This record gives sequence, C-alpha cells and structure tokens, in this order.
Amino acid sequence: MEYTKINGKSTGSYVLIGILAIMVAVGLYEFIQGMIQGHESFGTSNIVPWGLPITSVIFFIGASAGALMLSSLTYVFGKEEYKPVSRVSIFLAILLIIGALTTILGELGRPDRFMNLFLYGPGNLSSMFAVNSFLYTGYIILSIVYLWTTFRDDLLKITKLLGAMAATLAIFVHTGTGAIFGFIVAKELWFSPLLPILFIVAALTSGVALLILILTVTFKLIGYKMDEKLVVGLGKYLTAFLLLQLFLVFIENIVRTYGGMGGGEMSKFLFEGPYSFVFWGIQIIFGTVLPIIILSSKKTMIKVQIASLLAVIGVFAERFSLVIPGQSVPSQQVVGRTMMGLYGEPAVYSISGAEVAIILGVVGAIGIAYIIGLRFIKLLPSQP
Amino acid sequence: MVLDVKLNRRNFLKIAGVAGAATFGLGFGEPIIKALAQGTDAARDEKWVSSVCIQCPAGCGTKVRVVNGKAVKIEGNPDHPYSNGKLCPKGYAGLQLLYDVDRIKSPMKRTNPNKGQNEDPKFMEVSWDEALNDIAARLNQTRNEGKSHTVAFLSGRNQGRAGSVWTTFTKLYGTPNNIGHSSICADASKKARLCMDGTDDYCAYDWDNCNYVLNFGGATLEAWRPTNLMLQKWAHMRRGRPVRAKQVMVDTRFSTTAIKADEWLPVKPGTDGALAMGISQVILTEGLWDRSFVGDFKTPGRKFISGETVANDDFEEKWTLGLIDYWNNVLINFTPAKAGEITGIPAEQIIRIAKEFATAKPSIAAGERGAGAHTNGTYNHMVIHGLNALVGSMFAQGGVMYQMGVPYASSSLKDDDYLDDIAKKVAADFKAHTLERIDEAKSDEWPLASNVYQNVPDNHAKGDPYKLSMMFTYYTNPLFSNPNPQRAWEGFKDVFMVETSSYLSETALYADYILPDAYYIERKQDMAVYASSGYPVTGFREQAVKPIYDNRDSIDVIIDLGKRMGGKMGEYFTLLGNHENMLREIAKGFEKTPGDNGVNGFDSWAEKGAWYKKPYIYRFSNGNFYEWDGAGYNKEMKKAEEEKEEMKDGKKVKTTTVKDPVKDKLLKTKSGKFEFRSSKLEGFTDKQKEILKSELKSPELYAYPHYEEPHFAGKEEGFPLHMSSPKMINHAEGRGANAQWLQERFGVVIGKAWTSWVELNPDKAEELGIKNGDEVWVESPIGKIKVMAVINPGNPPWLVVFPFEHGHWNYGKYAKGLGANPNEIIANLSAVISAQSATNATMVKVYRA
Amino acid sequence: MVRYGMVIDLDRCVGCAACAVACKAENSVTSSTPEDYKNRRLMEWNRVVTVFKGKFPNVSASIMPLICNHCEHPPCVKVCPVDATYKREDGLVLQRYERCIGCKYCMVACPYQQRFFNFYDQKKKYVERFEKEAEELKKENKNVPITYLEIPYHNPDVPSRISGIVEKCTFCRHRIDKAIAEGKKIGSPDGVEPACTQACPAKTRTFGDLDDPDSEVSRLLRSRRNYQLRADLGTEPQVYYLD
Ligand SMILES: Nc1nc2c(c(=O)[nH]1)N[C@H]1C(S)=C(S)[C@@H](COP(=O)(O)OP(=O)(O)OC[C@H]3O[C@@H](n4cnc5c(=O)[nH]c(N)nc54)[C@H](O)[C@@H]3O)O[C@H]1N2
Ligand SMILES: Nc1nc2c(c(=O)[nH]1)N[C@H]1C(S)=C(S)[C@@H](COP(=O)(O)OP(=O)(O)OC[C@H]3O[C@@H](n4cnc5c(=O)[nH]c(N)nc54)[C@H](O)[C@@H]3O)O[C@H]1N2
Ligand code: SF4
Ligand code: SF4
Ligand code: SF4
Ligand code: SF4
Ligand code: SF4
Ligand SMILES: [Mo]
Repeated sequence: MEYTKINGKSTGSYVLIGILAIMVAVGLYEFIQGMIQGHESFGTSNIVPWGLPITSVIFFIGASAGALMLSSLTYVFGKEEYKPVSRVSIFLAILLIIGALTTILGELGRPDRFMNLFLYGPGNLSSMFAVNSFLYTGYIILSIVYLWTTFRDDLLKITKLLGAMAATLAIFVHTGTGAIFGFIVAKELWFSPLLPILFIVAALTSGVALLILILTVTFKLIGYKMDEKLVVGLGKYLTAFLLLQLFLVFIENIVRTYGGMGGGEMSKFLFEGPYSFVFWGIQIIFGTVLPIIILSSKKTMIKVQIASLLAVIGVFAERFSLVIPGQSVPSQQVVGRTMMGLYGEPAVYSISGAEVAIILGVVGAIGIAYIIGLRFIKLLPSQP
Repeated sequence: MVLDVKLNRRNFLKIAGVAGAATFGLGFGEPIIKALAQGTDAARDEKWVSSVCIQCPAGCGTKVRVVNGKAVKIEGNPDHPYSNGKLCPKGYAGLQLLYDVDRIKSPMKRTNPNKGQNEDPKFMEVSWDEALNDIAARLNQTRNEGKSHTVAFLSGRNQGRAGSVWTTFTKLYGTPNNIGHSSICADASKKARLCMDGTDDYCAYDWDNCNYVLNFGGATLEAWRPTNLMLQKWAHMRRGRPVRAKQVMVDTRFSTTAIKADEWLPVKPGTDGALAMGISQVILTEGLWDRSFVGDFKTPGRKFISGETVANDDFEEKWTLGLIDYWNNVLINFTPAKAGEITGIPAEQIIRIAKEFATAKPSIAAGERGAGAHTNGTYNHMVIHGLNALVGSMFAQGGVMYQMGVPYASSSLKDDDYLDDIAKKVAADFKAHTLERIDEAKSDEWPLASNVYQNVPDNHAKGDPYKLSMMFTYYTNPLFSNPNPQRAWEGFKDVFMVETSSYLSETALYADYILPDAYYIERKQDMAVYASSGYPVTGFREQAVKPIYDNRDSIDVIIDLGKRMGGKMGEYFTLLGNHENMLREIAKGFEKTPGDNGVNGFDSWAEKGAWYKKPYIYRFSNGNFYEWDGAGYNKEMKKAEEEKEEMKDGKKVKTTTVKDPVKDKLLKTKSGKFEFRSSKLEGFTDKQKEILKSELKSPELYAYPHYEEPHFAGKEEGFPLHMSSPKMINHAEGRGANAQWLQERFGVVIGKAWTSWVELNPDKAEELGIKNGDEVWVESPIGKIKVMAVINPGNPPWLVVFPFEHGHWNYGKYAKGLGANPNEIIANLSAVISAQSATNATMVKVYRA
Repeated sequence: MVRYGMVIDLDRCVGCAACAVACKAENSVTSSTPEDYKNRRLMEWNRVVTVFKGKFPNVSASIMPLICNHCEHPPCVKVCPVDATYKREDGLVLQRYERCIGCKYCMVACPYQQRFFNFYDQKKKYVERFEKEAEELKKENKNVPITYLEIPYHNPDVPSRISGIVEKCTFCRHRIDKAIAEGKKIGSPDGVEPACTQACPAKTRTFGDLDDPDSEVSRLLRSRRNYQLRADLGTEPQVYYLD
C-alpha cells in the first residue's frame, strides 16, 4: 500500500489554516488573560470547579484512545481493509492527546506551574492526575514511535508489538481518565466501577465516529473519493459501540435508581434536573438512539457519516452529562434533610466565552497540526 | 489575648521545624511561615486597643488589633461582661465599615438645591471652618427670627456623651425637638412597664438562674438585645448548668430562635396579648400564681374560676395592685380556648405552657418588637409583663429586674445656668403646652410617648404644629428606616439638613451639609450598656486608629458648633472644652466606686475598656425586697417612717414622712405596687383619656393590660397576607449593607446572600404559582416592590417574611441598589400609648412579577 | 502523637455565624461581591447552613456550621497531583499555596465542598477598583488614602492568595504554629484556639488534641453521642458533631 503527502498549497487550504490560526490566537489570548487575571471570565464556580474544558479533555482523550485502538485493527489484528486509514488514525490519536493536554494546561489555575506535575507528581502517585500525567506522556511517546514504525516495512513485527502495546496503553490511559472521576467518593454520579468501562466504550464510539468525520472532510477537501466499503465497515463497529454504550448507561442508571446512598436522587437529578435536556435530548435521543436507528437499516456512506456526526455530539454530551451534573447536584451532607440556599440548590454552570475560546483554540491547533502533518508526512493512501 | 507578639529567630526556627518535618523538605518555602517571619523581621508595631462595638445598641466591649497603625481584627474584650471575649458576627465586620472606601472623606456642602431620589446633590468639599461657621450663622439667624423651635435634632444611636451633648445643645439653643428614634425602635415594651411598675426602660434578666423563658417576639438569637450576650446566655442555659432551662419562642415566623427553641408557638400576628392573657387565666384558675408576690385569697386554697367574679375583699394583694379588677374585667372569660381561637395556638398547649411557666420557676416572660410593633403593642407588652408579676419574677433570682445606672461623676458645669431668654421662653412654652414638639410627643395625644419619630415627616408636611426649617441627623436615617419613608422623601425636601454620618445614606443624599463623623474605631466614647445584666456596666471606646480621612468625632463637632454660636451657649461649650474632657470628668466617679476589674479612673477605664460592678443589688425573695449589704441580700427594704423637723411659719413642726424604698427604687408607681390597673393611665387628663379611648376597640379596658384587637393596614382592602420585616443576625440596623462579610451570609437560615427576599410558605407559594427564586411583587396599600421569593418550609401560610436592611439608594457601592426596603410598603401605624411604630401591622398580597 | 480535631456541639450552636465572619477576618479570606455570589464563588472556609425536615406545622430544622473536616483519610490529599495539599503530622490538612497548580481536583474530590478556588488575586482585585480614584488624587497632589492601595485589614500573619490556587480552612495553623513557637498551650478551653472557636459566643466549638485523653475534646466525645459528617464515605473526619 502506498502513502502520500498532500500538496496543500491551495488557497482553500490557506484560508482554512487562516481560520484555524484565528481560533488559536483567540484561544491563546483568553488563556493568557486567564493566567494573568485569574479565571474570573470562566463559567466555573466553587461548586462546579470543572467546566467545559475538562469535558473536552476527556472527549479528546477518549477520541484519541479510540482512534489508536482502531489502528490496531490493521497493525495488530491484520484487518487490511482498514489499512488506508490506520496511519492517519495513529497520527490523529497523537494530535488529540496532545490537544487534550493543552486543554488541561488552559484549564489550570496556574499553568505556569505545570512542571510541578513532573517535579512533585511522583511524590503522590495516589493521585490519578499524577498517574495520568505519566501515562499520557508514555502514551504519546509510544504512539509516536508506533507511528514511525508504520513507515518502515522492515519493522512489521515491531509495529505489531508496538501497536498492541499502544492499544493496551490507550485502554489504560482512558481507564485512568475514567478513574479520575470513578475514584471520587464525593460525587455520586462518578463513583462507579463501571465508569472506566463506559469511558472505553465511549472512547471507541467517538474514536471511530470522529475518524469517519475527519476523513470525510479531509477527502472532500483534497478531492479524494471515500471508499464506501471502508466507511460502511467502520459503521458496523460504530453500531456495536453505540449499542454497548447505551446498554452501559442503562445499567448504570438502573443500579443508581434502584438503591444506594440517596442514589435515586442523583438519577432524578440527571433525568429531571436542569441538565436533563442534555442527557435525554442530546446524549440519549440525538446522540445514541438516533444514530443507532439510522445505522440499523442498510448502511450507506452518507448514513454512516450522519450517524458519526450524531455519535460525536452524543459522546460529547455524554461527557458533559457526567462532568457537569456530577458536580452541580447538591452534595448530601446530612442525609435525608434538605439544605437551604446555595449549597442545597443545584449549581448551574454556564458555559463562558473564554472557555469555549480556549477549547476552540486547541481545536484550531489540532487542525493546523493535522494539515501540516498531511503536507509533510505520508499519512494518506495514494489515490488510485 | 495574644499581646505584642515577639517572635525571635530561635522560636521561628522551631515553627519552621515543626512545619518542615511534615512538609517534605520544603520548610522555608511555606508561605505562612514566611509571613510570620516577615512579621518579626519587619519590626511589627502591634497592639490591642479597647473599643466598643456599635453595629447594634448592645455596646459590647471589643479589642482592636492594630498592626502598624492599621486595624486588622476586632475581637471581643474578655474584660467586658457583655462580650466575655466574644462578639456577634456584626462586631467583626466593623473593620470593613471602617475601611469602606466609599465613606465621606471631608465635610461636604450641597450645591444642587433640588432634592429627590434621583437628584445628584452635587456635593462640594468644604473646610470644617467654613461649614461650621455657615451652619452657626444659619442657626443664629433662625433663632433671632424667633423660630428656634423649628430646628430639629434627630438621633439614633447617641451613645454616651452624644446624648448629653445633643440634649444640652437643643436646650441652650431653644428647641424642644430633640427627637430620638425610640418610637421606631422598641418603645412599646418600655412604656408597658412604665404603666405597670413605673420604670420606663427595658428589663434586665437573670438568665443565669432562670429555668423557663417565654419569649413573645424578641428574637433572642437574631436581634433583641444585647444580642451577643443573649447568644452566650442561651448556650449557657442549654448546656452550661446542671438544669437545662426551657426556651419557648412565640414568633410568627420560623426564625432562628424558633428553630433552636425547645418549643415554638406560631401565633397569628398581633395576638401575643391574647396568648399571654390565656396563659394568665390558666395561672389564676389553676392556682399557680406566686403568693409571696401577688398575695392570696383570704380563704386559703381558693382559686379563680373562669366566668366567676371575685369580690375585692376576698383577696389580699401583696405587691400588686388591681389584680381582682384585672380578673373581673379582663381575664374572667378569657379562657385558653378563646385565646386559642385568636392566636391559633391549641388550647391544650396554652394550658400546658402556662402550667410549665408557673411551676418551673424562676421563669421569665419577655419579648420585644414582635409583640410590640403592632397597633396594640403596648397592651400586648402589658399583659406579657403581668406574667412576670403573676409568677413572682419581679426582682427575684432568675427573674427580671432593671438595669442600674453607672455612677459617673456629674459635672460642675450646669447647662441650666447658661439658658438665655430665648431658651428659657421655649422651655416654659413647652412646659405650658403652648409650644409642642414637631412629633407631638408629650402632647395630649401622646402623653407618655418619648418620641413619635415616624410622624415627623407628616407633621412637617402638614405644618401642624409647624414647619421645620432645619434638621440635624445623628446616627439615624429617617429616609430609610421609617415606615413608608416616601413620606420623608417628599416631606424633607424643603428642610435645611445637616447630616453627621460618614456614609452616604439616603438622609445624607438630602443633606445640605455633611459633617462626617469619625468612625467608632477612630473615636473615644463611653457606652453604658443596654439593659440585661442588671448590675452597672460601661464600656470605653479608645481611639484605635486615627481617622483615615478628614473626619471628626461628631460630639466634638457639636461642641465646636456650640462655641461658634456665641452668646451664653458659646460660653457653655467653651467651658465644656471637648469630648475627652467630658469623659475624664465622668470617669472621676470611678475613683469612689472602682470597678470589679480595678478600673478606678479615666486611664484604667480606657485601657481595660470596661468598668462594671457586680452584683445587682436588689432582690425579691420570700415575699420581701432586700438590698445587697456587701455580703448578701440582707438589708430588707422596709417602709419606714421618717420624722423631720421643719420650720413652718416660724414654728418647729414635726412631719413624718413614710419612706418606701421599694417604691422609690423598684416599683416606682403611684401605689408603690406592681399595678394591674395602671394608675399612670388612670391619671391621664380627661382629654388625654378621651383621645386614647377613641383609638381603642375596648375603651373600657384602657387602664388594664388586655388584648386589644389589632388594626392592620390593608386588611379591609383585601390584602390577605401578614408581613413581618424582622432583623437578621447579620443585619446591623440600617448600617450593615455595605459590609461584605455580613452581606455574604445575610440569610443564615434560608441561605441567601447579597440580596433581599420574601419568604413564603411552600403550600401558599404553590397556591400562588410561585417557585423558589421567582421574582414577585409584594403589594400593600402603600405600594409595591419587586423582590425574590424564597420558599421557607417552616413559615405558616398566612405570613410573608421580608427582612429589613436592604434597598439603599446609596450607602456605598455594595449597598447601593441591593435588594429592596420593606419599609417602602409598610404603612405608618403606631401603637397607642407608646407610639411604637407598628412595623408588623401591614398586610400584603404577593404575586409573580 | 498530637492529632488536632474539633467538636461542635449543635445543642449549643445558635446559628449566629460569628464563627464564619471571624474566620474571614482572621484568615483574610476574600470578601465576596454580589457577582461572586451570583457566580457561586463565595470563599467560605466556614459556613453555617440550615437543613430542614418537613414543613409547617410539622417542621424541624437544624443549623450547623461546616468547616474542613481535616479528614484522617482526606480525598483532597489523595488526589492532589503535586502534593500541594498534605496532611501534617498533627492532623492538619494544609495547603502549600506556592505549589498548587490549580487543577481543582481536590475541590471535586472533597465530599464536603470545603475547598475554594481563587478566581482572582485577592489584593489586585481590591486595589484595581480604586486605581482610577488613586490616580486622580495623585494628579491633584493629594494624599492617597491607604484604603485605595491595599486591603488595609489583611491579617499580616497569613499570606494573601494569588489567583488560580485553591485554599481552605487551615485550622488556623498560624495561630497553632505561633503557639508552638511561644510554647503556649494549644486547645480549648484555656489554650490557643482557632479564630472561629475563640469567637463563638455559644462555646459551640471545642478544639484540641484528640489523642490526648485528658483534652476537652476527648472528654466531650466520651461524654456524649457524637457523629461525623458522611462517615459512610470513609474519610474519617476529625470534626465531630454533638446533637
Ligand atoms: N442582629 C441585629 N440585632 C439587633 C439589631 C439589629 O439591627 N441587628 N438591632 C437592635 C435593636 S435597635 C432592637 S430594637 C432590637 C429589636 O429586637 P427584636 O424585637 O427581637 O427584633 P425584630 O426583628 O424587629 O422582631 C423580632 C421578631 O418578631 C417577630 N414578629 C413579627 N410579628 C410578630 C407578632 O405579631 N408576634 C410575635 N410574637 N412575633 C412577631 C418577627 O418575626 C421577629 O422574629 O434588636 C437589637 N439587636
Ligand atoms: N421594616 C423595619 N423597619 C425598621 C426595623 C425593622 O425591624 N423592620 N427596625 C427598626 C428599629 S428597631 C430601629 S432601632 C431603626 C433603626 O433605624 P435608624 O435610627 O435610622 O438607624 P440606621 O438605619 O442604623 O441608620 C443609622 C444612620 O447612621 C449613620 N451612621 C453610621 N455610622 C455613623 C457614625 O459613625 N456617625 C454618625 N453620626 N452616623 C453614622 C448611617 O449613615 C445611617 O444613616 O429602624 C427601625 N426600622
Ligand atoms: S451584639 Fe451588637 S454591639 Fe455586640 S457585637 Fe453584636 S453588633 Fe456589636
Ligand atoms: S473536608 Fe475536604 S478539604 Fe477538608 S480534609 Fe476532608 S476532603 Fe480535604
Ligand atoms: S488544585 Fe492545587 S491543591 Fe488542589 S489538587 Fe490541584 S494542585 Fe492540588
Ligand atoms: S479553624 Fe480557623 S481557618 Fe478553620 S474555619 Fe475556623 S477560623 Fe477558619
Ligand atoms: S459562632 Fe458558634 S453559635 Fe454561632 S454559628 Fe458559629 S458555631 Fe454556631
Ligand atoms: Mo431598635
């Protein structure tokens, strides 16, 4: 199989880079503002300290892990039909995880002290954040090497080995990300052994779906034709992941509603609270059920593409319904009694421009890096 | 108290060591340790200065921590018997008021003659000299025109010498209009006592020894007085002694006090008198009255029987007067069932409470604005106070008493010697009722009222009895705290106003001159406490920091103004000198009577911040009154005949007068008894009686404590809900809205901050279609305001609670525009006799905005 | 071993919130503004809340002060990736302000919502508001009052906090450290106490060494039934409540 660089010198490409660069610039500006002024312009609060950036971080990490695991179809499991997209999916996985880390940086109160993570992190490995910073770093390095080996036909065996390792690490990475939440006893919505598993399934969903979308756009822009068989094939995986995801969400909420520490309250909050429309409307109906319905009939390229778009939105909504309501539900301090006022009412989180700008800045940076990557590295299959 | 911290290097290393051990080799990187080190290295000048809090009238002693000339913390003064090292939350917030950047920083003169809510006064900075000379000239001009009486002095917290300086100033100047805010405050309870036992004051209470408290609308844990001490005593009654005292709270709302009390009685608004009457009837019918105080039937064992009259001869009263008349005319048919019907409290509960109250002695019946701020407030408080007599709590251990005065030395300088002709004439005219006060206090309409502060705007507007030309305001904000203050917004437009506050209050916005006072931490002042301990206490406010702006202590400013007035007045104030002189003079009294903490003069007083002398010297026990003789309550206060030889018509005449120390010192009524039939009221002139009776639904009972059916503004017009506008614990009268520390936890119970709200019962809210947090209109016959609704599951459905303090149009950037002022929809109703403003007597309707 | 803890006797508590304001003053915790309240950015190391059961007329409520529990097994310490939050040998859960990266992980991990993020620089924010006025006064060659230049009432014993870091109740460690340095007794009723404890008019709070059987805290815990908040979470709070 032959790979090629793209030319990428069209005006369209420069316009695109220009737009992305503006996104980066705005994001950078907000980031610097936040660093100097503090996070006043954020939508977060002392009750909901984690907002949209953290939501995006786990989305990015998930998509990255998903994309990487997908590449293993080819390099580990030898499914040659997916080879055309496997290299680019490793590349995307790398970009996405770096994007995730950049977003974390943008979200830190003191990004200037980022290095403390590496200075003092080893001192407190009970922190999933500390553990993850090493996992992520390892994952990035491994993925880069893995990507590099795919260029060397003489290293097939090593590629396979690295692919397996990277995929495993991806699972760990995302399990670790899930554990950031899953280990928190304080938050009923998060404290669940199922959470890491749900994270992996969601990762796969978003990984496949995002890959399909990005390739669709890329191919459209560079004038390549998408291989319908490949897309439909990926669509099958997407269907499976979506079903699995729906099942896990179902199980988890059943368990939660059934019993446990005021758990009914939590589900009630999720189902009826101020964010219920995100849960029901976007995550469940629009982002999971609808794509499943679309995919359940005979799959065509366009159907898979639409379903992918919906699934990406769905997974993002799923992350959102986890991160935000998980924090904003009033935390129970005295069981069975209602607390008056601020700490007894759900804390509504309002998305702020600054946070969106920072996230879009990262998206812009990923975009630019992706375009540049396509130009300088042979990532895409040569079109017949 | 941590005084003058000196950390040396070695000590510092010790701390660093301790911290270092736990900090992973980073010891010196620790920021707090660094700060401590800086403190020692940069030669910190640190001291604790005694002061007295004035966020509310309680007068708690404080210690101000001053580091390098800046006040950085206020704490309770352990040497002040009201503080005991503690403060209520408002006390700590004094710092933020001191350093409020929006304070007025120098004297100001108005340049825009138009006044109104939306008028910019266009203040111009002026010098003290210019301002005071101009004001003195105006005062003299008015005086020379024969209109000195049209100058009014309105005051609120005129503590210590402020009171005497204002009194003298008005007296020498020649105006009767030295008007305090006591009628919008809590005069009902005072006047009720005046009518029954002859003392025009708040009670003091022996909390330490009392077993049962029946409180009618005195918010023990939120307001009342002295808040800080009440908080301490409450806990003491709970856990600090072998026997736990029972707290029964009668309040219309589920207040903090109601939450924490052992029992809450959610009475219908304005019906406290009925509840207390029901309880009184049970005490009498069950035969539970205190025979050593009240006396007994001549037939032992006889009780009162509901519906049956008692012949006066059958009962021998001891320290009371008129009990049988009270029974026959008032209580006879007022059964617990009837009380229950009126108050909404089940009869069985009333009976049980009455029995407990009368048997768990010593018991205290108390209360404040809850029962008082209604049109029937004075009578309510009379019935309540009567309970103390029925169970023998007057001056008994664990009962109620009156606050003793502080033995200040009196001045050799007598203001009476400096009255000129104008001043003398005004005094004489006032005495002869040819000249009335602007508020008509002491007139036939209000013979007993100390002030009728809330009526000043109307009377001025009507020009009845006359129009005011000038008004001074000291520590009071008539454009805000008055019921229906819109009357003052209109009425005071044409009055030349001089404000002394250093905050841009509503009143200040109407001022023609602002003479900004030094804040209390910046000034020296004495402060004899509000009633509570019985034994005398007075605090001292030492200047902790110099005025941070060009502000001056108002008392000195008034003395200065007096000097500039010239004439006899000028002479007097020149001799008076300054505020500190006055303080040094009164402190001489302590040379003779040193305090328990060794304070024996000005300097030790200023250093310790308090003078006090225990114990309370009177005690009723076993049917008699005793005085403290240094070792115990051993000196019986007996009536004694005193023979005097006098020269009459050139002949020596022997006269015998009966000396009755109880009457002179404790039960200061005409009869020397606790009067259930008030001779004070019976002593009204016919005209006074006629006016009073015309206001009553039961005119025949005018001289008795009784349940007088209350009048509610809006009731007839179909406004269905009662409204209470209470104070919150973080509410410092109208003076705390600019303190961030107070505002951020304003509604402790309902968890709201930085705003005002109305509380609604959940069922009522549902009926009205209102959800928690909705904007609603609260409308009364006076007007309507928009405010946030909060569902309080504890409040009864007939009640709306609208806390007071917010809704300033200025008062600094934090207070301005914050929430709404309930007064703007409260009708100006007053209780009969005391003129207590009936803040709780307006009815409203609430609907979604 | 010394293990500091606090006992809060709710039967004594009168819900006055003096503790909360005293804590603010003592620790120079940022004062909020109406915007902060709206945005739920109150810094409340010490807050007094009311919990209700039922409604009128069958209603009861309890008012309780909440502070950092200085948990024996503090999730906040466990999750801190840079060891900025740590548990000191004497039981205090403390914060190294200069190390915190502001990840807010500890905030979501604390089951008691006892950690607070500095959305802005305390001092800068305060001064900024009066910069213009100060400039104008300078131009007119007038004295600039200190209230324009700094938070005048900042307690010099505690550092001011920069934006982007997290803070919480320290058990008034500066008082404790000072007492250690000066060799003073620590703990209620006659030793050095945290500001909230000292301030409480109702003597609701008792502070002291839980490991010392003779301390007032130990005595109180022995004398009455007590509980910790959300003991089911396994955090083992060192703040105990009595009803
Ligand atoms: N925190 C704080 N404390 C203060 C002050 C302050 O500003 N703030 N000010 C001080 C001053 S000047 C005063 S005068 C005192 C006043 O002290 P209080 O008299 O205690 O004060 P209020 O809050 O006016 O009213 C007390 C209670 O009466 C209730 N109430 C209303 N209507 C009725 C009724 O018909 N019957 C009964 N039983 N209760 C009713 C209210 O709900 C409220 O809870 O407080 C002093 N202490
Ligand atoms: N609806 C409703 N209304 C009420 C009450 C209620 O519970 N509900 N409570 C009533 C009661 S009990 C009272 S006592 C009154 C209180 O009402 P006011 O007597 O009006 O007292 P404040 O509102 O505290 O206003 C005090 C004024 O003093 C000024 N001031 C502050 N510090 C200083 C200073 O250092 N020096 C000088 N010279 N002035 C200073 C301030 O600018 C402020 O304008 O309100 C009454 N009004
Ligand atoms: S009770 Fe009144 S005087 Fe005492 S601290 Fe509180 S506000 Fe100040
Ligand atoms: S209460 Fe919260 S902040 Fe305090 S130690 Fe426990 S987990 Fe940490
Ligand atoms: S915010 Fe600071 S203290 Fe909290 S976990 Fe992150 S680094 Fe640690
Ligand atoms: S112990 Fe100190 S820091 Fe903690 S709540 Fe009390 S006063 Fe605040
Ligand atoms: S200061 Fe004491 S009584 Fe007041 S709320 Fe705090 S703990 Fe309770
Ligand atoms: Mo008052």
